[in-house]
Amino acid sequence: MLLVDHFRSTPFRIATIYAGLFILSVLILFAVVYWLVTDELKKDLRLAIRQDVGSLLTIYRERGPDGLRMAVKDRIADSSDKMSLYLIRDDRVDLASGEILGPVPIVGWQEITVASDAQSANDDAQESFLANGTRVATSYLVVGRSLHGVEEAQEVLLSSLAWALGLTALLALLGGVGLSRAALSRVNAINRIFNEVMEGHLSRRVPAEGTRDELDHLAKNINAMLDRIELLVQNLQQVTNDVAHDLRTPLGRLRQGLEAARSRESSVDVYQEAVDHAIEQVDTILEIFAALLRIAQIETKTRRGRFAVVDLSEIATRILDAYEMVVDDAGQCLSGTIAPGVYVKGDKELLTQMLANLVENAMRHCPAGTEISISLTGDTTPILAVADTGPGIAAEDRQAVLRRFYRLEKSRTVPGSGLGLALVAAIADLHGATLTLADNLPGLRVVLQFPLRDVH
Amino acid sequence: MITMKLLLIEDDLETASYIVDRLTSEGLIVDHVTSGRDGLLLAASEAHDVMIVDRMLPGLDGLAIVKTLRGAGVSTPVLFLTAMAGVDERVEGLEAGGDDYLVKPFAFAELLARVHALARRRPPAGEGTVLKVADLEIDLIRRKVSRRGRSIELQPREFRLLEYLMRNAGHVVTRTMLLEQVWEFHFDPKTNIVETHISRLRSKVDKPFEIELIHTVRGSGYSVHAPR
Repeated sequence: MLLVDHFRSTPFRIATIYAGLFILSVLILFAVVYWLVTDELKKDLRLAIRQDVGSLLTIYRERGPDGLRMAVKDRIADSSDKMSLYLIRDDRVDLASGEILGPVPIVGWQEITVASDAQSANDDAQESFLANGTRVATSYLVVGRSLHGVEEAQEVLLSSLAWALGLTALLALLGGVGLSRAALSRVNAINRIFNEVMEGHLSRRVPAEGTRDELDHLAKNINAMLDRIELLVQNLQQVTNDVAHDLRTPLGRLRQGLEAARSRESSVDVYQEAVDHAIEQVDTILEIFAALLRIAQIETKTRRGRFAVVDLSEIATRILDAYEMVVDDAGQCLSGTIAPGVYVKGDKELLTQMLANLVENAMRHCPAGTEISISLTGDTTPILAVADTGPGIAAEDRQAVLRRFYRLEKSRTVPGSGLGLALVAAIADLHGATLTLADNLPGLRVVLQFPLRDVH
Repeated sequence: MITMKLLLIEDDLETASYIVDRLTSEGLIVDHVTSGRDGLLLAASEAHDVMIVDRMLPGLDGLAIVKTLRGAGVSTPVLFLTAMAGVDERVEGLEAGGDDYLVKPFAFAELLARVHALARRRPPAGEGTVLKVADLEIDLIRRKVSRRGRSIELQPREFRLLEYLMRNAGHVVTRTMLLEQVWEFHFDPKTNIVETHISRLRSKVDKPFEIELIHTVRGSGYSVHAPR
């Protein structure tokens, strides 16, 4: 991984921001210490200078100008280490410990620079002094102390500051890289998976670390999303194949019929019959299209916006009433146990169609003599069930029959689009109802459990 | 009989000419316009018995036209035509002030039956509480049916079926119209619900008497009328 990648990573940026804040606080702390130390050292120098000036003035008062000159001369001789500065200016030649650079005379406190001589251990061409200038009768006296000590203290402070800052910055950089490496390695793993998925490997998943942190949570969600995408793509592929296949059959039949009608010299009656047959085939095709569109539209779930409180008991009764005789005519039997006053929030039209589909499905796939029953209970949550005593569906096929166009081998000969149960599943899902296909011992039992809700 | 006058707003010329031809051959007068704007002007300026409005029109769409007309106090019954088989579209059409709804492609018999049903819907106050076809009587208030003075017992749903047929006496009602009106089924069941119930109704209303009143109209639906 490139170092640049670390610099761009979020953990690194956060570490940098913290390091910046830390460095700023170190700087403020040092500024305060620097100022306090400098001030304290200068205070000491001032005190020493004041005492020195005081004692020189005493000498002047006791011994006059000559005495003062003597004392200063002694002091200059004593301070061979060049830590002190003296200057006397009167009507004679200046008596000075060094050449003061800048305007002289001065009165009061001032920092001045003095040209240092070649023998000085100090490499600098000049040295700073804190100095005090006083007028003594006609003379002028300057006493100073070298600021060398103060400057050295400042240098120590500054160099320690530089070290501290350098180390802080280094630690921040290392910490940032370390943090970002940990985070980036996982983010990059996710990115790698994404790239693989985008290249078409839809089954790839982000490995879970089990750390339960936000990245783990993210990985889990990404995997759930990938599951959904994979399922949708599979569905789409299956539907595309099935549409192609299921529409080819009636379209092929339509073409055959038309071709056969044209190839023969027939009567008007035969032609009319052929046209009727063709219209029938076209209607079948249109029906499949309409059913597919309806399922697709229900799956968008926009219809939830029109949900209202629906009397499920009324729907079940109406379906029972509509189908009782039809089922009778087919040599089967339809009965119902319908609890009154069971309400759900939903779409009346779609719920009606769903229940009708279930009854018709049972009729179509069961032999004569089968007993079909509708039951509705609302004791805890509304539960709607359609059961039959027919051949049932093997446990391993129960999920598959809910898919579009899926038809069991044995029911291929029975007319139907293979969309009935897919529509039921879509409507159940729209209503948040759990759809279960169970064994009715014998037969199939389709159970719809609606979510509990307060309809009042 | 006064000739019925229709307004068709449809931009697809092939569909429009098919509808105009078939309706004209049925003896109806049809004004046809291709744009919503023209349709709105014509609907506001001339009286029609029924309007057939395509929902998808260039410029001003079908829903907007009907909303505008209803806002202006025009109460001509409206039948929406649409290529959208969606569930919401029907509800939206009815909410906008439409009276009925037909999804393209449709059988012409279905369109014709619905247009006639809409045209009859106009004067609802004119109907009495007792409907009569030949010697068959149905009392809507007391929920009683009798023929030639003999009382006939009907299940509630059978009564509703007969009532709808009687309200449209002399005209064809289609299987789909019955499914919608009697059972509130807005989809196409794969079983013969209508046929089964009609045959049960016939066995009660027609069978004991020598004259048949409930007629099957081949390829279209059913019609109740006195023998012609």
